[in-house]
Amino acid sequence: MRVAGAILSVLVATAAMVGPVAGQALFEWPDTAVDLSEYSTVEECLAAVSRAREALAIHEERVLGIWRDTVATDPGEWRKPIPGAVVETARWCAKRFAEVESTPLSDFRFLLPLYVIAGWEETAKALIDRRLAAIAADDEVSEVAAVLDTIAHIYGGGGGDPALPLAVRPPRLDLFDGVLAEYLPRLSDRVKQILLYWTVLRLGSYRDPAALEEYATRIEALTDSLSESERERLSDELKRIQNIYDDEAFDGDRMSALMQVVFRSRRQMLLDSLRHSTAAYVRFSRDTWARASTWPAETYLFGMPVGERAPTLEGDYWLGCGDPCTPRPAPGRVSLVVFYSPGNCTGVVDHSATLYAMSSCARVLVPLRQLEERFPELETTVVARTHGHFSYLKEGVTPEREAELTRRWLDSFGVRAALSMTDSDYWRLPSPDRRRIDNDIPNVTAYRFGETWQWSANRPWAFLIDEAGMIVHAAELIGSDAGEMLAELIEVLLERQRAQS
Amino acid sequence: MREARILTSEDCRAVLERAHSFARGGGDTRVGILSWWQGELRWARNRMSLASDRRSIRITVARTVPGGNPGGPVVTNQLDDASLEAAVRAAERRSELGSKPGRGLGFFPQFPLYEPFQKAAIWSDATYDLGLEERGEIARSMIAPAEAKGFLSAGYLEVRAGALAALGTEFPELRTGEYALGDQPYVRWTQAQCSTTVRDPTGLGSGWAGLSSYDWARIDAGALAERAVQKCQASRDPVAIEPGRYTVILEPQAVADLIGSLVREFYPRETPEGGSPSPWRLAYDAVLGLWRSKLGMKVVDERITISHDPADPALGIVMHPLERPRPVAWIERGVLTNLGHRFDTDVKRLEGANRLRGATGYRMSGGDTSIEEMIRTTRRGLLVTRFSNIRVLDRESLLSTGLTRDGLWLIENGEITKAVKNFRFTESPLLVLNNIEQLGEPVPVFRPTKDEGGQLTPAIVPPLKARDFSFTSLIDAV
Repeated sequence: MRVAGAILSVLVATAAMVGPVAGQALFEWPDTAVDLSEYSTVEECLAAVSRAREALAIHEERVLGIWRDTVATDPGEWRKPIPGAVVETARWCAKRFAEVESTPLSDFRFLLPLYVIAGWEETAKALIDRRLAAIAADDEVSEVAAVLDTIAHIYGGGGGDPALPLAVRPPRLDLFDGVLAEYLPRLSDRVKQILLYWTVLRLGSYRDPAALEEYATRIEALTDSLSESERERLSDELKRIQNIYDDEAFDGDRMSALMQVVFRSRRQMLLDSLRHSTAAYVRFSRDTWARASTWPAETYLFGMPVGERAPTLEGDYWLGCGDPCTPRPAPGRVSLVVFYSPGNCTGVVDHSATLYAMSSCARVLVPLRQLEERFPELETTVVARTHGHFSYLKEGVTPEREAELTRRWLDSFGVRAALSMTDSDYWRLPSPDRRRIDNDIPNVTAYRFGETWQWSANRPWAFLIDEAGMIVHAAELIGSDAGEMLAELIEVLLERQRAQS
Repeated sequence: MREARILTSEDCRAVLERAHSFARGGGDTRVGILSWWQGELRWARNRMSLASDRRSIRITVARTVPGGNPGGPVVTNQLDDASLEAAVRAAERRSELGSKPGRGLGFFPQFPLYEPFQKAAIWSDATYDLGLEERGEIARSMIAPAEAKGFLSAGYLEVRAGALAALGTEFPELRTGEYALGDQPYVRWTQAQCSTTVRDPTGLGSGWAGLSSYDWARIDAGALAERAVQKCQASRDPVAIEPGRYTVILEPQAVADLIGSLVREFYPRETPEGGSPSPWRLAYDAVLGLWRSKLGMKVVDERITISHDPADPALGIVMHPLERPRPVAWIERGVLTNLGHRFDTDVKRLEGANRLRGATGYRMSGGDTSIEEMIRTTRRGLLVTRFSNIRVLDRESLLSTGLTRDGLWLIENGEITKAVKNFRFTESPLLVLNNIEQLGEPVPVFRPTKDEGGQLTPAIVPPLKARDFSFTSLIDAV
């Protein structure tokens, strides 16, 4: 055998010498092919699937050259199947864990997404059955609820939960519908049932409206049947889920998820009510809110001033509009008022990398420009304030100059909105701290409605106002997703305006 | 005249312009040059073990496209046209790979002009001219006293010089002058360091001495060798004593080692003001909706001032183009008075428009008590040469742990009575600087830079005596 090995070595060496690469020092890529069947732990499989998905995403980004934050979301994206390479990776790797009966249940939350991504829906269902069957009678209610919640998050794409290392993307909440129908009867606690429905609504933004409305109807039916003590429990649980511990701390930033849920669950009915009138829209929104959450209708979106008359904007400098520019929002026109200043995004560049940061102003101004292009009749106003500098210019930057530069900044993004610039009062913390503290400008104070509606002036809040000057909606305008709900409402308002004229 | 060891300003400009001439446009092609020379000499067990004289050039080319990712830089060390052009092309290919069209940059006004700062003392002919033979002579002269006493000497001597230049091509708004954003005007500097450890052949005694400076003329190699031998001799046959709280006399090197973590925290002020753990974070101000720092508060003994002056000839600080150099007191009479910050923080919230790095070099105030006097007035305590292996355990209190090394002695009734075995300590520099009893005269200490293109972080610190220093366990190292 040793002699045979030596002969083979000589032959190989000889072949190398006379081959085409003889005498050349060519670099060859090392063999990096991976044998997935060698992976012995479920964690290794999860990592392999994640890597495959990430590699495909990078490849797609480079091939298409599209930065997704500034393009409209493709509604069909959620329905795209899981890429074949990812499915194959999951299948090859998960083969050794394919026997549901022999896999440890402690790996449940790792195996379930792996099965779903591999396309083994029956295996996944068998694992769920086994997991739920293993629950002792003593722990029935709390553990069944917890397991169903985990399954909902896995099928719903992870929901940002760090305890779920592998997200199912695109989400498969349709698979969860059957699981819920089968096992919900085991859950005698109606509050926990409602909370599960909320979870499904919250995770199901991509689903068709009929599915969402079905869940909303179930929530309302269950909520109507709750006893007083159950209603209190539900109220507390919803606050806990939204990290709301203090009624006075309700603010707009915290409740966008709830707002989205309410809107999604009754989207068509809400739009229909808005077609009728803003008052009907507000009334229906509040009723929906109250029935679903058990909170009073007055707490709708924690004080969002929907249905309130929009205050007239003030400004020391008005640029980009006719003369006279005021009053804004103009009576008889559908208006969008956006609070945004250059200082709220990448304004000061101190390194070339800053130019390409995620805090780029484009994340707000590109969606705004898209709304303007889509709805030329919409009156748009950007409300800004002086910060004492523009970008890195500080010396000699007067408020007037800052307003001019801000106008040029909007123009550079193709935003045609009128600019209302207010000269900010400010003061400084005592030396040696010396930080500048800006006082609120009158426009921010007015749109906070006596502090009943808390929102951060450093965030790009947009207020949609109907032709009668009533606020219809408020939302942070970041990325194209935020603009979608606004766009639907704007479309209805403009239809309504055209019908009236 | 000695041959040029690093590229001159004219050389750099010519290379930068040649490289830019290969750029096809449509993006920003930034070219940076680092030219360095380093002469080093290492010895161990009384014999030379390494001598080198090396130099290199590192040319970095990066191209960015508006709305795209910078991508990674391409590096070459060849100056010919073909190599430079190949690097520029490779950088262009890379930027295409990473580009993400659609992001948009918006409008940027002209960048303010920054005047060059040329007062910093960072260049020394004595360092630049120290040749191989001279370095060998110096090492021999440092080994001889140790060998004469039967000890083993080890050490390292290094001199180096570096030059940096960089220039971009596009974004005219961001570079109105030579000193604008992203460009580095030609700057050259020198560094020198020398340290030696002398050991007893039985392994039971060790002495160390070292010094670094931009100027070799400020380093007395003979004195370093003599001090290391003396410490080795005095540290032989240490005895073990109980760990616990002791009054300590810290030699200047030990002080610099200990407060290194504190000095690093002078930058950036965005850490405490962003609410992240920092020794300078005070509390969240719910009324103003911001985090307050300890700026303006007394944080250490009022005899302590820690400051720097970019023009200080004893320090040697290389300035950044976006800085407007001025003397800065970080701690003045015990009060925290300044924290370094980023350029954008100054523009947005403070009163200037410049970057303020932390204490890249610093002076710490002292007193007039000699180490001998400190010993004479100590009933029971320890004299510490230096610390090693220090790491921070808690960033808010700066509680740190580390080891004493190369000479630790017990003081009893005003006299050094015996060498003692080394300790692990667990202590915070903030507590030590609040427990000061006496301070001595500040002197330069050993603060070497390891990176090839790295710049000095010099320090001038005093010896000090502090009470209740916490030693937590004995260690076997000498």
